[in-house]
Amino acid sequence: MNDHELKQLFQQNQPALPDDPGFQRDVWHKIAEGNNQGISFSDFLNVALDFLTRPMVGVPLAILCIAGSATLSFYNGIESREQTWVELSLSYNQLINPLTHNQ
Amino acid sequence: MKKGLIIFSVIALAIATYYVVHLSVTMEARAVMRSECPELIWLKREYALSDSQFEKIQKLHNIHDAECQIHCRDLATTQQQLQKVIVSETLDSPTVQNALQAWRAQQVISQDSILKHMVNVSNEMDPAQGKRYRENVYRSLILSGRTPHINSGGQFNPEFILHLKQ
Repeated sequence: MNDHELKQLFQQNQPALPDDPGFQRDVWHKIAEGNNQGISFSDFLNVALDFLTRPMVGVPLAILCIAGSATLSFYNGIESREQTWVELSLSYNQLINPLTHNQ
Repeated sequence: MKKGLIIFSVIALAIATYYVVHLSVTMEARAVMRSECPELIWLKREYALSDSQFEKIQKLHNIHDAECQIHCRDLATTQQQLQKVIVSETLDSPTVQNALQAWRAQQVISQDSILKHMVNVSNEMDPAQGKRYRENVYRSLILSGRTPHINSGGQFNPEFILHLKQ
């Protein structure tokens, strides 16, 4: 359909507007109000909750979250354990060395 | 409400997982730290000592520990004497020279005692572990930052410290 045909179609189908002199002004007012309205935090929260609790999103996300937590904890634990061995090795060296007792 | 509860449960489960994994990974280290002498338990673990080896080394350690305390006390005494005279007299005075000599002698005695203990302990270990123990003690206690010109391979390296150019 080209522009000319579209224009003709619009002209043939004029909608019957209500017999209210303030109708157009009201419509424009409502459109303006609608554009100025921001999304409230609770709306955002609802949308987010809806999105996160969809099985297709929620289940992989929960698995990822728990697996990520376990991995992070595993590496932190290893680091912490190795740090303990290093501290104990230094502590042992100090324990058998009278020269370091006075420092 | 129900959706919020689901998300809260997942977060709680993730936090619980973190703590459970962390506790299980660090369990051995925490048990060692809670023991009476964590350094010796570390030694047993580090050099894979058997119970009989550990028992002998523990006895050697107790003997060395008593000697160590005496050396430590004597070293502190000689250090105090040196400190007292070195601030009030010249370096070539007999009092300072005697205090210096006493302090150096005490350092040699202390170092000899570590070396003797190092050899005694390593002799109780399996040969490979004993060698590693000697290397580690030598590197940590005998070299320990007192020879900045020597690299990790034991060779002299003049570039380690930038001296003033002549």
